[in-house]
Amino acid sequence: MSLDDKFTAIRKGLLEFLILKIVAVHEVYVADILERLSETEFATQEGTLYPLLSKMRRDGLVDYKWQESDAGPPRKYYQLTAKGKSQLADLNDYWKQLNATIAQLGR
Amino acid sequence: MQKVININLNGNAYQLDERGYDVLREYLAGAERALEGNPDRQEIIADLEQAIADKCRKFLSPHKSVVEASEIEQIVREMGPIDAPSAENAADGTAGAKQAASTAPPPKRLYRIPEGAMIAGVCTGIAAYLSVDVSIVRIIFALSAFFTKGAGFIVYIVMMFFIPEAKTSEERASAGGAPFNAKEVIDRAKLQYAEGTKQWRRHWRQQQRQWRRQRWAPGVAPLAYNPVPWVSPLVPVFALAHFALFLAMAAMIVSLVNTGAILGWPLPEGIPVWGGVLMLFVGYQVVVSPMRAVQHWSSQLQSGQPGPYAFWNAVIWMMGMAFVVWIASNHMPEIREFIQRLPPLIRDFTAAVRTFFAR
Repeated sequence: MSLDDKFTAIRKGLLEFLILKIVAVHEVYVADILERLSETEFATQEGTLYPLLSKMRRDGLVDYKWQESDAGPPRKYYQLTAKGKSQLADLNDYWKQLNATIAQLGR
Repeated sequence: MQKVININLNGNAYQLDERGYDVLREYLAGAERALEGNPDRQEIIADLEQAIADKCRKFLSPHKSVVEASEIEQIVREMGPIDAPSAENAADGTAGAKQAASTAPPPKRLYRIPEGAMIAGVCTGIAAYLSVDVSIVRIIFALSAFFTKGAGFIVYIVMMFFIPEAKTSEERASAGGAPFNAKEVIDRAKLQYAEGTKQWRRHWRQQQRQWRRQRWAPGVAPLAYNPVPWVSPLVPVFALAHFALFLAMAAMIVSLVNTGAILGWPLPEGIPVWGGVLMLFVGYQVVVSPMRAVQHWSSQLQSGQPGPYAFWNAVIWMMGMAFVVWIASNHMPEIREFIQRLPPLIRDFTAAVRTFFAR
């Protein structure tokens, strides 16, 4: 496993966490999420994002509602559910704890 | 000049050229495969189509109404491969492998093909799977059924139970390839077993009714009893000769496998050991078949039931076998060796058969 593969695996594990973070700010549609991520190392494509969002919705973390758009057909706007909010809080705490552990363990 | 194809993406009409259409269709078909088993498959596909539609719109203007192939290719690149997460592996790195599997063509599977079938389509299915002519498969099946006293036919019946029939055109298209999974096999066997026992019970009841009628109806003669005087005393002789031949064949096979020569006679050039074993077995069957026919005939004559003859035949065989096995396991290391060498031999044989068909 090359270093790149390791980074990919880490990013993959964190993607759901980041989507929760983005959706938590205000309700968004998929193009917004992609745009926010595109500037980061987490740049993602529709082919990955739609299946992941559908899984998160099935898990009860996010939900969507249809909203009319001025350009084109109505869009799905995603927002966090109560479960999603509490999971985001847990993940944030866990992330901080992980960082502390990593810093503490050595050089 | 290029042909234009109208498509409907989640309710939006677009015009593509032919190559672009192929690229897009390939992408969406791959998405469908990757999302197989996903409860939200339809919804995700609709989302993807909508996203593609949005991207298509960007390439159109009042003076340009067709999305070109290069643009479709760019869109598909932007969309990226379908990465279907599941609860178990969303966090591990298996998506790469999964993705590779989803873009591969659908796996070949073994199906029964009723079109052009003689019985249930097992042979046609195997022929499609191995991409050989169906008559070759049929001849091999017929020969094996003949030389194994019908065991080949039982194999056919077993396959009839276990191999699903290709019902849809999709199944027919993929008739040939990777083995079907174990759970499917078990489920199907259960179902077919339930149906089979139902039919068998019906048949059994009919048979019983028939027997009852025969017993009580006056005037129905018992089966003709017509012994041929010289056959009966010869029956034990045949049984013994049969058994002796069997032993001879077994000894030849053992010596062939262990030394590469039949009791000292080397095999002709170019014939592999498994080929020699097969020839010995076929030869044995040919020599023994008239004897077996006589035995069968004489047992038929004895009132149509396997009466005393079959009993004594079985006793002779069982005692003989027990004796031989006892002797062999005590005094002949060759037998032990033979049994140890049998698995690789069988492997060689199946490998040879497979390469023959793969050609």
